[in-house]
Amino acid sequence: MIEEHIPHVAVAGNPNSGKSTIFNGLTGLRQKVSNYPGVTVEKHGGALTLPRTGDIHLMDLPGTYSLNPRSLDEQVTHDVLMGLDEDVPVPRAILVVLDASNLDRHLFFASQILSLGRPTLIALNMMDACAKTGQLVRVDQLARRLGVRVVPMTASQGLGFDELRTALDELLQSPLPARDTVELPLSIAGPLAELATLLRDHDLATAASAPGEALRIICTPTSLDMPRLKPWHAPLAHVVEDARAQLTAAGLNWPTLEAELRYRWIDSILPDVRTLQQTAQAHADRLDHWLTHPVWGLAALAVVVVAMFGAIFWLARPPMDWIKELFGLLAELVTKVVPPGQIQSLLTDGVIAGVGGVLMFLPQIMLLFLFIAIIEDSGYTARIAFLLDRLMSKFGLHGKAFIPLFSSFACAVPGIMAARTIDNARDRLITILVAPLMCCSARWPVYLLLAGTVIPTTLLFGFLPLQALVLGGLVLLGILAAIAFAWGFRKTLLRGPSTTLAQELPPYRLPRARTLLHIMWERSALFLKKAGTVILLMSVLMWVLTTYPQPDKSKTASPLEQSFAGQLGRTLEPALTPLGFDWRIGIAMVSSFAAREVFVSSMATIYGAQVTDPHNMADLQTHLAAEKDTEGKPFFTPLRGINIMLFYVLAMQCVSTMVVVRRETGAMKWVLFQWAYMTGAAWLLCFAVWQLAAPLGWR
Amino acid sequence: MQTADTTLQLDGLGVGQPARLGAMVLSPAEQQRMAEMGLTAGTPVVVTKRSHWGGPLEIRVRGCKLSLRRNVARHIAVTRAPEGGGRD
Repeated sequence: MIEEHIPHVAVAGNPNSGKSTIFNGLTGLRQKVSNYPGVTVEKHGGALTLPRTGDIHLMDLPGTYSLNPRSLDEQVTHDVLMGLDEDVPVPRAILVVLDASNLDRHLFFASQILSLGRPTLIALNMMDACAKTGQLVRVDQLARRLGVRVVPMTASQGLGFDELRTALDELLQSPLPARDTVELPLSIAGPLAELATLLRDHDLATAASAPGEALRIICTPTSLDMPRLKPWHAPLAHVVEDARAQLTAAGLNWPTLEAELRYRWIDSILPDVRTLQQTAQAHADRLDHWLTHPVWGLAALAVVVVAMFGAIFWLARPPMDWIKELFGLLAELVTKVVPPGQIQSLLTDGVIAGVGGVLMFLPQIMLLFLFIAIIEDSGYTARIAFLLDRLMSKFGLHGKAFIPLFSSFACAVPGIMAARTIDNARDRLITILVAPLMCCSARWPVYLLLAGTVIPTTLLFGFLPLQALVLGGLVLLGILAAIAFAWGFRKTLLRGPSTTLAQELPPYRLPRARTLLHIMWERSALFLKKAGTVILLMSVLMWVLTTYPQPDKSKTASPLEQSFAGQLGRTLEPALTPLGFDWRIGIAMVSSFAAREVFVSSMATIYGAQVTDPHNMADLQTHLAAEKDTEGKPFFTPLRGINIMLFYVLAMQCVSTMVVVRRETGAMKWVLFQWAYMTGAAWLLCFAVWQLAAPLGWR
Repeated sequence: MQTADTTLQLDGLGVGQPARLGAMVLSPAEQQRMAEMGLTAGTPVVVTKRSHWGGPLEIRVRGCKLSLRRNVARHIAVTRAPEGGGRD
């Protein structure tokens, strides 16, 4: 898989350093996105050809503030840089991206990386922002202090790439190891000596990296639980404890020791490296005054959200119709070319209908990805979090959960992927768990069909359409359920403080079209890949369930009734009857497990009406309204219809979502848990409604 | 030595008042994280905004804006700096 002879170069840097812009600028379209094995961290790789070194492989590491592994992102960064990731060869060199206008903070990570003692090159990005904020950075001075080459760049304008390529080429031709910028004073080096020696003896560090590595292990409370150090836990534990005790005795606070040393070094070099001409922060402050204002900020957010949704539903409509037509044409073509029979049915009813049904949502999903990328790239996410944190934290959610949850109103897939911006694992998991409760667009066909069938078209108080009121109520119920479950999970399963301590409010930046399109394409491609594999597989499976066994013509029961899905509906009937559902509704529910809106076409198959256009459901609604129960009364009473809708508000009925949750949480157990709690809650609610309605005579 | 009346908690610091960070009463892991974000003892800090209804604080440290929850800010001691003590 990995060609060992191609030199690997790792690209590392803080979030918001413009790391991805540099990576994209260097590799262009020669990129590949995959996942690090076992974790959900995306692995971005790309190829680059240098004049002398030839082909090299560039790895874009997740943006992190520190080399100390606590989060998954940091773990990956740490392991790759240290050459511990079994899937990735040891990087031949490290390219560190710094925000030149933010040296006070970004130099911390750079100084940590230099302590690894590997060949290193610094890309000093955002020189334009430096000029704008009145900072003058002396690049040669900085290079001298860091002991490695520094290339000034403005990557967003394409400036500095040639110099960067040349510098990288030269570094790879004559790789010089970097040296730690910080020399440990004896009072610290003394207590650390034994650990450093042990690390070297066990081959856990080189002579150059041992002191820095020992310091990090001492400063990180849970360092010995890291996979790499776990085997050495016993021999190291007392050495680490000993060292911490010695440091404490010397009046030093060990958790902050490394940061204090490195920041002290930064403070000592900054006066030589940079001149401040003026402090011009007025622009961002003025914007923030409005955007995080309790009234104007919320108003601005409302405008953004409404515009976003208006655009999504408006702009996505035509391409969605095209996709549907395209798949319709495809099905027609297959019908003409492939002789009637099971193969034809598999292709048209299974593959084309199944994949087409999911792909139809692609335009919406792509637009959502685009809007999410704009909000994230411009720096607005952090402001939304600031604005809503107090309110959302009351429900056990993080302020940053707003965009993921809101996006889930169109589709939970991009919503769940957007939860990546939440750094705290617990906060992120809660967001992922409740996101599918938001009323996604696949629920609308179900609601529209049933509300149109069972809710009269009366106007309440002479102006409020009852049907709209019911639909609004269903949407609200989803939101309330999400809030309640988030609160419940926080109080029970995922207890503990939300540990996102400090959140950076990055400067506002105008997002670049190329970056946005890149992100949109990358995420959509990921979804497409899933549609081509798992969702295709599920579609075929659903087809098998609804087609086999082959119907026995002598029986009066319809083919669907005789199929596995029909049998499943029958088998499930004892569990469904207490909810007021019969086996036919059961079939529709089973088949719409692939995607909720399949409910409509399944009901059409079961009740014999041909529904070709889900926007014109009148025909099917007439059929349903005419359906009689054993006593000759209408079967689809208002309460029965509402109960089915209530089921769809809560139940997890979406394979795509489950696939994405599996990917994003990295564990099947969360997929199963989510399915169980959502569908369980749906069952309980419907059971309670149906059973309580009986004595009241509301059925 | 600082006198007692100049030492207070970060969440009690007025907007725009220059101060320097002191000790934090947080877990070791939290202390490490905060220090890595640049909140080390002695660093100049300014509260730039207090959100309403007890929401987070916006502070400026090392030329960078950070948002900090109140319940975290409550556990960070600061010392009021004499005038002109903004950024280093």
